Amino acid sequence: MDITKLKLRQIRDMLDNGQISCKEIINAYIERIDDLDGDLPCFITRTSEMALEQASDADKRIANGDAGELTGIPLAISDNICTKGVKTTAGGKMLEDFVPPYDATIISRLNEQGAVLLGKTNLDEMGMSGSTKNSHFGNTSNPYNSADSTIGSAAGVAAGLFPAGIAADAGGTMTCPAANCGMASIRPTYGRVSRYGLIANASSFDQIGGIANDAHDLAILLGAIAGYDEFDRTSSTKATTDFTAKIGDSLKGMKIALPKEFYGDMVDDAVKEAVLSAAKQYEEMGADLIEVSIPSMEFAIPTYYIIANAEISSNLARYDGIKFGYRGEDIDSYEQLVKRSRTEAFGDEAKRRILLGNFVLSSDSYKDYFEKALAVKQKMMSEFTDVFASCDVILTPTNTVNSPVEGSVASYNSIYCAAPSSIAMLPSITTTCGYGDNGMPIGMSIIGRRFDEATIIGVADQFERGFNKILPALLGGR
Amino acid sequence: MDIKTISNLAELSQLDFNEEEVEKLSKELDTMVGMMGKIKQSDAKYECSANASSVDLDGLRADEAKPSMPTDELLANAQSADGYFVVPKVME
Repeated sequence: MDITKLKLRQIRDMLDNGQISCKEIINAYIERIDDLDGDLPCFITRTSEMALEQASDADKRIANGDAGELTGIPLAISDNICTKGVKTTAGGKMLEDFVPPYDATIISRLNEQGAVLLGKTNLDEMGMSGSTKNSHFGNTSNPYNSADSTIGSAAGVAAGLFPAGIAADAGGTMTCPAANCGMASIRPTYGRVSRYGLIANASSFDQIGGIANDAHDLAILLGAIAGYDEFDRTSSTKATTDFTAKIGDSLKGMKIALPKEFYGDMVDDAVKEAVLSAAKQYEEMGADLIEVSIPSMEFAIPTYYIIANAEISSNLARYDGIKFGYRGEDIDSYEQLVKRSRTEAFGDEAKRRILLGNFVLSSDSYKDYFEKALAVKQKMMSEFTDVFASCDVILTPTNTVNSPVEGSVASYNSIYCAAPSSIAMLPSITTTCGYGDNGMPIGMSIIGRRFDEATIIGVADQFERGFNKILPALLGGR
Repeated sequence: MDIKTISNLAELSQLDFNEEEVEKLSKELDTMVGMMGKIKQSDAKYECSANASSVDLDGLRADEAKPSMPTDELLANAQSADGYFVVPKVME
């Protein structure tokens, strides 16, 4: 059986029809991970034994007619989401030996459903960036190009090591690498999914979402993890909907907006051409394209980094070497313990972000930087609201370039297209819309109104139906 | 960014850097502060009262006591003794 091209819902059908047992599926994935993960690698921690136990339980549930959407479905979880009894490092030395005493709410929900956890995937320290260049555990390679480093949950789905992964996004830290790996990814509306148990990076941006082969699988995944949680004050009490509800709906008369700022000099021609070609196809399906403007885009990058760094510096203040995490040795005083633990455990990028965060929050800089960034955020949210008065969804590139990004500042600029929807707390889905001359996938993002994930999932699905994906070399592609 | 500013920020951040690291950081942070400084060109005005609408905050849970996590589980990731976190001596 070739499991590598299976979608989540195909596995569901096979399990429900009795074509295969969950244990057989899990053994096949474990074998594939044994064969391939060493070259990528996607995992920081593997949980094969636990997965086989969960598979036995899932088989019993299926036999009893008690299966939910995700019962027996193998998944991988980004290593910044707490799993009780399973090491959760957040990609850094600080939490290298941290074993959470509790499950994140989304893990409890997945466990209730009977999903199977294959392991914890690699990411940049505390989720800072989407390249694993800042991971304490080394880089993960993109199956399309080993010179491009990416996050474990994106590479793993692309390489067929698991059919879907759960990860967190701040300003493109999940959606950008997913696009580079030719995968679909959804960052839901801020508040749609509980973040209880997600190790905090930048709290007003952090949102848990998923990576899968296509939009339909993402809808199923989102359905399993969405919903209010009394442990997360920012989770919404809004009722969850059927995220598959608009799959298959006609796009006739749908208004798709193309903000001109996303198609300017900041974005490579190859990327623009691929996304505009997708827009043309939507037009052929009956959608109306309209050009709009979001002028605050000019300040998207500084806005994101000012707010994110301020929040990172506050969130990372909890790591003091005492309650949990790395603790320095041969210490004489409390002050020395805190400083040495932080200095020895945080990586270079985390330290830069903490310094920059404290800079923008300091009394001399607060008004010029932090307050101004909050003002631009408000303005940008208002501009998005205005645009949505005349359209149903917004279509943009996901990444600015079609090749690996080198250098710290260049990588900061690469979030130009992905950060705005996050700043505006809007849902966004990315899916592949073309390939560059270098063979690398090009992703497009569809941004929706707040809590209207069903529409962007439906729009992405319509495009995917007519799109021929090229598999990575690892799976026999070019 | 000058050395003195970086030293002050390092102190605020509870981080130590040697001279070589401070010199390297000076150049890196200069570039990043330059990038973030573009925000000053914006004419946007922050409205404190407008922020509340961006997040649904109607989900306050009832003010009821619930069981806490057991102490031994809370201490499992720390140096501990007799049910307490161990810290260096802070009083003479």
